[in-house]
Amino acid sequence: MTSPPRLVGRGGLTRSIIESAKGDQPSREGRERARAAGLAALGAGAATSAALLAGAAKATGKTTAIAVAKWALLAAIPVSVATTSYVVVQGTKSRSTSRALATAEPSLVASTASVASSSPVAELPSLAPEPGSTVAPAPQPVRRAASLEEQITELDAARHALARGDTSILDRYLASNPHGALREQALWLKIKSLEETGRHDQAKVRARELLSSYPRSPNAEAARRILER
Amino acid sequence: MQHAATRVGAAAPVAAGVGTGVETATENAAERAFNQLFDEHYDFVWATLRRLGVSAEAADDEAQKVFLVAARKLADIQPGRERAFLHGASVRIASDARYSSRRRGEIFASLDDASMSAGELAADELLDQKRARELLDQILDTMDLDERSVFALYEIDGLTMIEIADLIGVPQGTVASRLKRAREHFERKLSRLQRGAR
Repeated sequence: MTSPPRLVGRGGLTRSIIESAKGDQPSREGRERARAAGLAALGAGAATSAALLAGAAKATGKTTAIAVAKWALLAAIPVSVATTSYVVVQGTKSRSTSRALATAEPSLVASTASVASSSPVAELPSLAPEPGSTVAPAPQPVRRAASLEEQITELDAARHALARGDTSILDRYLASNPHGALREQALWLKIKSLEETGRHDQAKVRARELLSSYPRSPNAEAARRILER
Repeated sequence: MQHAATRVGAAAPVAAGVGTGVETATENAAERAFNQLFDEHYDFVWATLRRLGVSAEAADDEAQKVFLVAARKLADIQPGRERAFLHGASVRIASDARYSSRRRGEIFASLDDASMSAGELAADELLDQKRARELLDQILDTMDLDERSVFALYEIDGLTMIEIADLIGVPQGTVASRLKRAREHFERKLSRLQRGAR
C-alpha cells in the first residue's frame, strides 16, 4: 500500500488551511480542571478493578483476588461514585458490596475482551439540557448518591444554565452532593458566579469552603486571591 | 507524532497494595498512573476533539469527559493501547457532543455549504490562521466522522496509514479507502471555495 503525498506539501492555500489546526491549544485552566476531575473519579476505577478481580476470583477460586477486590471497592466509596445507595463501613461487607460488584462485573467482561474496540463512553447519557429548559430548585428530600455519570450530566447542565444566569441546577448539585466527585468544580463555578454577580461576601464563604475541603485544588490559588480582596 | 510508549499499568496499582497492605501506596500508584496518562495524552485528546468538530469553547469540557472515562476504566486500558483507548473515547464523546449540540439547535460549526461562499480564493493565497481554521472546520464538518478522523490523523497529525490502522483498530485497507474518500472530499470542497460557492 502506498501512502499518498501529504496535502500540506502543496503549499499555498491548502497548506494554510491544513496547518491552521496546529494552532489549537488547550487552556491551562481546562487542563487542570480535567486532571482534578479525573483524579477524583479514580475511585470509580477502583470499583472497576474490584469487579474485575472479583470476576477472576469467581473463576479461579483465588482468595487473594477477592481480598484485593474488596479493598478496591471500599476505596471507591469515599468519592461517592460507587453505584450504591447504601453505606459501607470499612471492613464490613454489606449487601451493597455484592450489589455493586454484581452490577459492575458484566461491563467488565465485555470491556476486557477488546479495549480498543469497546465503547468506553457508551454508557454515558447525553449531557445536553433540553432547549430552554429551566429547572426549578425543587426540594430533594431523600436522594441516593448520584453516579458519576449523573453528576457529570448535572454539572454539565449547571454550566449551560449558568450561562443563562440560572444557578438552580448548580445549587441543587451542591446541596445534594456534599461529597460528590465533582464538588470541587461545582464550588468553583459557584464562587465565580457569586463574584460575577457582586456577592463577594458569599463568594468568600464558598472560597473558604473550597480551600478547606480541597487545599490542592487547581483553583486554590484563585480562591486565596478572592479571600485577600 | 509517536504512539504512547509508556505502559500505564492497569493491574499494578492494585497489586501494589496486596503484599504491603498499605492502601495509600496503592492509591498513590493509581494517581501516578493517571497523571502519567494525562500528561502524555491530554494535548492529543484535546486536539482530536477539535479536529472532530468540537468547538474551542467546548473542547475543555469534552476532554474532561474523556479523562473521566479513562479514570474509571484505568484498570482496563491495556499497556501500549493508551492512545488507542483515548482516541476511541474521544471519537464517541465528540460524536455525542455534536449530536447534542445539533439537538439544541446550536451552530456547532457551519454545516451548510452555502456558508462556504468565501469569495474568490487563489490557490497560492496565504490566509491568516483564524480564517484558515474556520475554512478547515467548514470543510471537515461536511465529512463523515470516520473519514474525518482518518483525514485529521494523516494530514494534520502526520501519522502513517499503518499507525492509523493500529490506533483506530481497522485494517490498513479500510484506512486507505477512508483517506482516499476524505481527500477527494477535501479537494472538491476546496475547489468550490476557490471558485466561490454557487
